[in-house]
Amino acid sequence: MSVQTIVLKQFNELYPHAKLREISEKTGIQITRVFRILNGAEMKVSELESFQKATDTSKSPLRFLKLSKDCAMTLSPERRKYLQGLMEQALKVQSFQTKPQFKVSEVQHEL
Amino acid sequence: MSYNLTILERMILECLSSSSKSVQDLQDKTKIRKDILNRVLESLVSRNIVLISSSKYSLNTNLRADITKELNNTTSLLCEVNEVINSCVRSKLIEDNEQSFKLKKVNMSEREEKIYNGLLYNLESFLGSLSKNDNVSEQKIIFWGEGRYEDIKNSILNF
Repeated sequence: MSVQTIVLKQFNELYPHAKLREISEKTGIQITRVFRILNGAEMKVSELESFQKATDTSKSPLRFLKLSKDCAMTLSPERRKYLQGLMEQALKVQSFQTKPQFKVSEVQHEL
Repeated sequence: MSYNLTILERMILECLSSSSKSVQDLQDKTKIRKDILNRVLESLVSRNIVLISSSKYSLNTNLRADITKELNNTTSLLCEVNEVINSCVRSKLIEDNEQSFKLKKVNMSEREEKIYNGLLYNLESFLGSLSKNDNVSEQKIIFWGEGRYEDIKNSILNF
């Protein structure tokens, strides 16, 4: 499997119903070019990087929610309590600064 | 109501442990930005951990036993230590601050272990002889200790 195929597969898994316009917005690649790529045109390195960047979900709120759910379902009560304590503290420090790290609408959109 | 305190809240409580203080005094001693300081104080007052009288803040020394217990329970302490160590590790890794965190994995012979224990004893005696005042922002947080690799591994597996 080529790198291009792997990257496109990852992107498709993350955004299974994304329209051409949405893919273009997420990658910054022109819509006509996205159309050609999805129809088999070979990607340039910069385009490959754009797709990779768009699939990097490590900082995504949605990824965080999924991870929290997995932790809640699988970790021991002690470890959950500890992680919960850390999350509560982080949230409290944030509330003292009253600066939300991401907009609620952003999470809702991704959900 | 959560009594799992953040570093900011603990800093203020430590500052108030010697005497009651005004917002200005607290700001001078903790160097916490005023708007943040006000919100932290509001949070502490709302939970009755800190009392306010004649524009001066003081520790509530008559807290219910269950609240005092929760303030110092294992989770609270784990979170506090985690935040402190994490901050020092971040400083080391991101800002390349050599002094902020050091960690070594070594094997020691019986003789080397005796030398190590002697040095540790000296360090602890020295730190124990130092005094502490309510100028908390100027305080240095020093941590040390060691663990056997196997015990650490088992502790992580059994947590």
